[in-house]
Amino acid sequence: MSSRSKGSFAHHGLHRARDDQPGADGLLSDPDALPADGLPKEIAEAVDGPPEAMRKLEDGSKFLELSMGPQHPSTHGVLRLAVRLDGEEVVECKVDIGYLHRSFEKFAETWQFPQLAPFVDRNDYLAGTLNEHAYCLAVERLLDLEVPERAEYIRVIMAELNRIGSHLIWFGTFAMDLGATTAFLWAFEGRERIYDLNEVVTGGRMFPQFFRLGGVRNDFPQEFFPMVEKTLAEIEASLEKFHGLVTGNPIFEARTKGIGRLSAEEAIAFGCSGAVLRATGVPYDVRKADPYSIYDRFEFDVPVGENGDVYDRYIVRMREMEESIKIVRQALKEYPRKGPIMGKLPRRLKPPRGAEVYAHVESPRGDLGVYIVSDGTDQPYRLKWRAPSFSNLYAVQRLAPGLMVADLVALVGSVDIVLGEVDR
Amino acid sequence: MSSGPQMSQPVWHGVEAAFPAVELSTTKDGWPVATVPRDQYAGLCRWLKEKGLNFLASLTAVHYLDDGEMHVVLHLYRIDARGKMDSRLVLKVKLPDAVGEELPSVASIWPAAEWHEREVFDMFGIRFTGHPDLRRILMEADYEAHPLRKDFVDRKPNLGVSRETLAKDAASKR
Repeated sequence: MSSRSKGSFAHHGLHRARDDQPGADGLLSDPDALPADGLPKEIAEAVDGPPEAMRKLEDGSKFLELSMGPQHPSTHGVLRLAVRLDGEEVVECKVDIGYLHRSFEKFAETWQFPQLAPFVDRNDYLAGTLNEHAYCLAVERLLDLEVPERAEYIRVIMAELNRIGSHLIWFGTFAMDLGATTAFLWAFEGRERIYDLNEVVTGGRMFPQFFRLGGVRNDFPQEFFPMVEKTLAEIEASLEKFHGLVTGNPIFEARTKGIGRLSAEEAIAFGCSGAVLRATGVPYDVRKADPYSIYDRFEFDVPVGENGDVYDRYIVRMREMEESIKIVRQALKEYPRKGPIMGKLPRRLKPPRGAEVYAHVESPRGDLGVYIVSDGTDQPYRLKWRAPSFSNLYAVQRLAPGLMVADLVALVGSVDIVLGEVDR
Repeated sequence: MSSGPQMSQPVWHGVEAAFPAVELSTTKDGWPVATVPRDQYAGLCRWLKEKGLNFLASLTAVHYLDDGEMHVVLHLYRIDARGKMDSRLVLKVKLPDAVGEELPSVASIWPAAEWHEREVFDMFGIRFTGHPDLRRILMEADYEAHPLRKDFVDRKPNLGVSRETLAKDAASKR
């Protein structure tokens, strides 16, 4: 016992954290049993990083078991990471979710289709209209509802503004995770302007409750148009400032470049989408790959990274905000000032018995899918919410071994999780 | 115009020849559906992965209480290096609806399935054999029921104060 407690870390002056107590809740595996034999060998080798992290365990030494969260500022909500540490290095990480589970899918089975449209805002609470877009799209396909052209433009404008707002929050909190408080305050100022736009159009700030089956609730008020021009110009200017503040910063680069690297094959295998997948160089964006609404009318690029690391995810999201500004500007230019904003709805919503649909949209976090099975009534028989954060968070569990604790914070920040949609 | 990606020749073309027991159909919104018998499920999944369906978007279940059936439903796409989604497939497998029914895990084929299968185990009670870490994921570890089953009855319905409590209160005041 005493001979090995000196450990192999003495040579670089690190004190090995020790804990002779077994894990409090048994979530982490028994260290004597590692490497986890349940995992198929080829996956374990392919995704759990170099086996060195495992080999250190074979001398039988004990490790510090640390519970990051559920009340921890860097976990972006109520996420718990059960981490086993060797000094400062993560040997094993188990992601523990479910703290925010509020039985959305069960609840959905008891409500009528139109009643659910405002409720889905609460899943990904940073991008309410994107949730509504996915949900309305699915139900409209189920019920063969037509959406008027003007409503589609309003939807796209609101969705893209929400995407910018969501990315701004992500930028602020991510920079905060890495210790940059100024960026956090600046980003939240921009986000407030987006929420002001939400408020002027929908009345709600975080939860717009704006999309309806077959259209949107109301038209843009006149004061919206000068306001949105001004806000977009402000955000463009602040993006410049953010790049000046963070992008070239040597501390920021040291903490993000090469950290949490994911290859394109791994990202696809883990079910990652959104900026996490695009940072690996795969330009998969639902708006381009499976166009919905009227996204095929707009010119925009899909920014991609090369290395799939934390830094590339940052750059991809920063550039996505510029693309969203481009889309909003084009949509405002082509926006038809006359016409209905609600399609014709049948008096009774009767989908065919046994019909099922799967609609997906590009949410700020990735591929957001809604699967609805109908039993012929006006309530969904089964509703499945395919949350992009759920799969992206799974990648964190696979990427964590081998990282330092501080890098784990950067990794969790970079995947942009929203626990509201992870736990549903 | 085109509301979906190009589906001229999906990568899983030829599935009927390789697996004659598979039934093909189409959903209301145009997704192809392959319904596979339970004993060929793992083999078909491996075949589909080899053919290039590399992205598992969702794995879930639907409980048909009246038929006594549980359908496990997978939504699969192929995402190529240019970010195109050129093939898609809904894969269905039917099981009896008893708690503890077993189905081979596909987490070794699509690692993304690991958490989705944990969620289906948690919510429907299907046991995935060969799964690396089959635990509850959303409900607490000592929870007993499987809430998304249609025969699930919450033993603590949220009705505010129960009639029994009110009656007891009234009796104690008397």
